Amino acid sequence: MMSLGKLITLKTNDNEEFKLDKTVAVKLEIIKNIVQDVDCTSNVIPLPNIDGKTMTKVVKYWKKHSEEGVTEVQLKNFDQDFLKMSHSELHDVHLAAKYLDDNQLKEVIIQEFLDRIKGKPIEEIREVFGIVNDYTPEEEEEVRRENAWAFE
Amino acid sequence: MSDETADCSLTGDVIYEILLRLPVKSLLRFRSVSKSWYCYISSRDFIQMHRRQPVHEKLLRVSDRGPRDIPTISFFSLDPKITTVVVDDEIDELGDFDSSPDPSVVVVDLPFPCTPDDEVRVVGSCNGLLCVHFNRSSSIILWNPATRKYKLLESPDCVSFYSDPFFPCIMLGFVLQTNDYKVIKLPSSSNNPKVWVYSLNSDSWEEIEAPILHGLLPKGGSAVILNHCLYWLSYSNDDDNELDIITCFDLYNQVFTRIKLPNLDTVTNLTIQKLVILKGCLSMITYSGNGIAVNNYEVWVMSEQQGAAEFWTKQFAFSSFSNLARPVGSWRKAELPDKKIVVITNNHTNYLSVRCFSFDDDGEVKHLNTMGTFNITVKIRKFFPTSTMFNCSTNMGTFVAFNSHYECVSHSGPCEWRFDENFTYRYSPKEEKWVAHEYNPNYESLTRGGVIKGKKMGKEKEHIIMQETKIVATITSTTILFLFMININVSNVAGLPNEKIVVITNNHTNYLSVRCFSFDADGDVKHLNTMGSFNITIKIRKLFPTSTMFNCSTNMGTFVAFNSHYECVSHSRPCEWKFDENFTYRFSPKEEKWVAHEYNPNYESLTRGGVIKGYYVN
Repeated sequence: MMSLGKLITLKTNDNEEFKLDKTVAVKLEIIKNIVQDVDCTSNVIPLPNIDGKTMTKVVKYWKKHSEEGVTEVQLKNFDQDFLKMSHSELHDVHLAAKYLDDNQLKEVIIQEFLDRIKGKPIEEIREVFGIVNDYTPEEEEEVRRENAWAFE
Repeated sequence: MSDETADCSLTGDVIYEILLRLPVKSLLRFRSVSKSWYCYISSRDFIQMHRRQPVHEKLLRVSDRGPRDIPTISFFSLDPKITTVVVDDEIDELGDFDSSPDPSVVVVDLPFPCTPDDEVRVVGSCNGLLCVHFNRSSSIILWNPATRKYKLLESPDCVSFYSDPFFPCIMLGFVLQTNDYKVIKLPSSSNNPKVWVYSLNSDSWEEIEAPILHGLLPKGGSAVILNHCLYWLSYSNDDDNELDIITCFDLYNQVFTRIKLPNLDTVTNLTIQKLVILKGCLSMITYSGNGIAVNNYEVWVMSEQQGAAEFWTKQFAFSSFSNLARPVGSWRKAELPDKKIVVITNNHTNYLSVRCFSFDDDGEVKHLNTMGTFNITVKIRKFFPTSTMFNCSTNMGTFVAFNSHYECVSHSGPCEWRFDENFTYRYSPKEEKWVAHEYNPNYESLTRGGVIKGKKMGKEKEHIIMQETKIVATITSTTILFLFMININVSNVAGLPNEKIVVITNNHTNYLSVRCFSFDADGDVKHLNTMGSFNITIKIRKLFPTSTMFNCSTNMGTFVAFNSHYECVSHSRPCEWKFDENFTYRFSPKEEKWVAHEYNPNYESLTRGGVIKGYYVN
């Protein structure tokens, strides 16, 4: 660590700890609030809604995006790699970003979802979001017929 | 199915956010994912939330045959989600919400039958719902182009919906309290003031007496809607003194009121009034000129109505940047898209070769059969509303310049202005032709020449007329409060150098950091001691006098923008206009300072801040 900033520790619900440079962490509203509330950076900040596996990804994203001298192209490539995860992992990261109030990361995830469902048949949409089809075939046909043009 | 009291909640947080961003077409498709998706997507709450998403800001461009065969282009705010946000890179052939070849433009046929000789006009727009009036067949249709659903409004007994096409007698509004859309039909005679009001909820017409309308007729120009009230300009014709007045109809309480116009200092025959909604208030822009050039604008804002006492304030007054600029409406703040796609259609009966060029592109020559079209993409510059201008020339000797179609944003009336290389023309309903507002050596050719999007269609071209009622949606949304059409004077440009060098000097007593940027460059930050200076070079665009504009911002909280007006090049007097991100300032010699022409949150800083002097050296 080249920075002299203090470290703060984030602790996930499965007791994994992440030490982060304070200057990185306080960019996030929620962490800033907690830090202010606790008023002592030596305290560990608990993240009851996030598991270690997800937090590893989030921290990796934060670190890359707060790296000094990183170029746009590098970030773009990083994001591309970063987003190579399963649908459910993507869900988890979205939840974490939402909890941490990290709008930038949230946007990236939502855009990835939009890309994944773009032009895909309904069956694949269900797969992406883990939806069980509760229509009978007749009902589904009926719903499709209502706006047949949308399926063209 | 949407009426079922099923659980409309969805599992998975991200789904909510994704659905909000999807265009209607995708949403209609995604209703077949599951019952709870169907229920949720069809719910009133979701529809309202979806409507408020800025990504769906759209402007609908309608080109049709207006009253008495005048070709018109009208613009309506629209929230149709019939298309998605522009996807820059690739267009996915199998795409869903970006499957059209040009993702930002969708041409939608009227989904209902219409006779070829009818006058079809979109007379109102509310929350993406359009009110379409078929004048000759005297019918009204409510149409949602996004869902492609429409409803024919059955006319009450013995009532004709025929109206003088020049006056807007049919209006559409929305009542939030009852979640109801209402259509009103004004009387066509001022002596029989009965108004028909249609409610979509009850699907019925109601006739209400409106003695207050006695002697009043609507003027040209469309109504504006604010909250649940419709406002339109009317004039009183019961005595010799024609008196202009604003008529208001409260759609919720079903009450009419008259609102006096502000006391204008100077009203002449040439004073034109236009209603707009600015910052949530009913406002009126007045402008006047000598018939050749418009030069004075006033913007009056009406604060909350206190009983009968209307309270108007002159919010600002300003002059035009150019010889002729017409305010065309207001548009609420939203995120700016990067670019705009403009559809050029050859409405002329002749084959035309067309070349369109803009700041970004010199354009290729396109060959168009009648009704042939092509698109051009125009980048939107963040600072200048006029900067998306482009020009089209044709082999018919005409040179047609379009503004970026902010024109007619809130008008349902016909577009009344057009331009050629040298002049501005206004459509004269009296003479039924385009009249040049300045002497024009090419006038002849304009009369016989082909004007793109502007030529009467003969009766024998009925099949074409059908096509003309196609509706094109163009992505547009802007941060601009005021939109102007600017006259382009190309002839001035001859002999100008390719680029211009501007010297920026810090005349302020403080050290300043300055960053100047233009269309061509974002500029580096420069650090200047007092009297320190640096040069910037600005490319001169061949067509647009405003196109060499640049802006400078400083660390004094001031944002100083210079215009590179050609008028300053050859003048020794100081440039009198400058701009910042949001406002226009004029140098007042009396007060010896820059005066903002609109409300300006940074005004303070402009007075105390350092104004950098810039001048041209070539």
